[in-house]
Amino acid sequence: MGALAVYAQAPVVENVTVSATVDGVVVNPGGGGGGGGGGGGGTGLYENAGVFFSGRAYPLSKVSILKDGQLVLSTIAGPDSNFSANLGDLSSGNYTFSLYGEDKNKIRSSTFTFDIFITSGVTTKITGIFIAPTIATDKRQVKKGDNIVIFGQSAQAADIVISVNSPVEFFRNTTTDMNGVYLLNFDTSVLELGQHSTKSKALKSGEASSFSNSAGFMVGLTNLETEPVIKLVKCDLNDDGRCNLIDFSIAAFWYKINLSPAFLIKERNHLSGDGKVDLVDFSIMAFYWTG
Amino acid sequence: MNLFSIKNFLVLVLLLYLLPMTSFSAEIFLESKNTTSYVGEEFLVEVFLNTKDASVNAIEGKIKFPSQFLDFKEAREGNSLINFWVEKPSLTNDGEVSFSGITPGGFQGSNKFLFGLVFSSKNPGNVALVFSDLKVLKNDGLGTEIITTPLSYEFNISNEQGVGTFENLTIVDNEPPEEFFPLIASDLNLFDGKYFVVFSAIDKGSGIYGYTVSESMLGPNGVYLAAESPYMLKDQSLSKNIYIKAIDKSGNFRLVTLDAQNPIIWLKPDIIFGIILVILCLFVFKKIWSKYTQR
Repeated sequence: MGALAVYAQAPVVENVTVSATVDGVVVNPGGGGGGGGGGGGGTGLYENAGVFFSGRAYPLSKVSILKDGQLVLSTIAGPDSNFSANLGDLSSGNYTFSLYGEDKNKIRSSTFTFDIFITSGVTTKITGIFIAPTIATDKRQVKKGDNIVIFGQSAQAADIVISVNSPVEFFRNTTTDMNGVYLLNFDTSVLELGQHSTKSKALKSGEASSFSNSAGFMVGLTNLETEPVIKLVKCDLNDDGRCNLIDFSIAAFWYKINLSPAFLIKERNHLSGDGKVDLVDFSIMAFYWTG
Repeated sequence: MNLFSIKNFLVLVLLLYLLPMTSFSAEIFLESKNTTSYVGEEFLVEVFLNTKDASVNAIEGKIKFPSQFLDFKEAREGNSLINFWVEKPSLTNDGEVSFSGITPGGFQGSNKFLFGLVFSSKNPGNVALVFSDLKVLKNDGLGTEIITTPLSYEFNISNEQGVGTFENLTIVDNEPPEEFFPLIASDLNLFDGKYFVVFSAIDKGSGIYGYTVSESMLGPNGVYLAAESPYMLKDQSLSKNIYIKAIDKSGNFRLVTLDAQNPIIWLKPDIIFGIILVILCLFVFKKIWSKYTQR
């Protein structure tokens, strides 16, 4: 058995700024103090690495952080929407980190994912994360000419750009209040009958989030309210409101084999609906993954 | 316009037509340090993906190799960008390695490492490793397939035994696998609704070798059995702690404990002995007292 060692090393900090609007990462090596340290592993000596995350979510909202697809920590953003979190005990290597927010109505944001190489013995700072807004509508079908309410949550006092998809894309602007809530009454007289979708993004202090998930609605001849309970449908094979390794394992059990009648229904409701489990179903899972 | 210039013009038109299409296609390729191998030599070939403009979250395919020239030794998925393997890279047929996996949230960019393959050269000749049945899917919630250009890898195996610089393929890995988070669940579609545990660890060095599981009330030093996720629990009452060891290919391990969900309260032997002693004393005292009061 290897002896336990305590390292006394020079503090090493690496700053990384991740912008939700720019692909990839910008690395600014060097930086101030802090960080450092490390310890011995159970099977040998190695220098641990760590990651520090910071950015904007929604006031007092829960922010979840996934490391290589596994939920490793959750934190609560402050009243000013800002959040930060530390993750330690990492080896040197490639990592995929994903972050998403959850608003006061338990609606999850789109997932912001990036991969990065973590260096042994270095604390990597990832700043400038801007969680995309959440979005929902008050109706799943709206009578043409009536208003549909598009709402969600983002950082407080942020500018929100809402896109409504149709043959011509309509853009509208609004702002969030001190609780990060935004709401827009959209006049559907400009939309054609049929299926439409809407999405939003936030801008604040010169930074922009990526676009939110899309919320779909139909323009028809009558109004139909949106069901009050918002539940993850895609991927969630065991109906626990999450998409994670349990759902992956259930799907993997049926991979490339004939599905039972009971699982055929699950596959139709939660996966691609083609009556078999293949890579397409796993891709759908990877998109809706919550960890 | 003569025949030559017409031909050139048509090629140019075709190229201009294809150019925008190719910019959307991904590219998968193999890389190795050496372009020539020697009989008896082991060498590493690494698989990379260029996703170009797209975010990718799922990939599967096969790599075919001539088994009369090469022996497949092992796959190395340590430090891969693939988070969960549906099928770990492994030999599925003679001269054929299959793989299939996903990365939640997707990834995008060039030279994204997927995994490595170690081969041993056994006969001289020109050899090609080629991809087949390849599927690369977009991170769009629909599983849209991306046009992917597979680039084969060709090299020569020299007959000169023992000649050449033999690559040192030893991985120095003193670090245990990353911390992982097993989950207990039950579902009618798996193990007839019995409780099972799911787990998946990642090792950035040599890669995961396997897992062992112990269900015990006596601590982490019980009997461990080789296990795969999902693992049906023997103790369906969930009264025992579950200990899961993820072991990497260098022998390092990470032990994770799941506390019993319905623990039976066990007392230490000395406490049990003490309680029995007190009961005995009370019994003797009662006997003596009753004899005393009868007088």
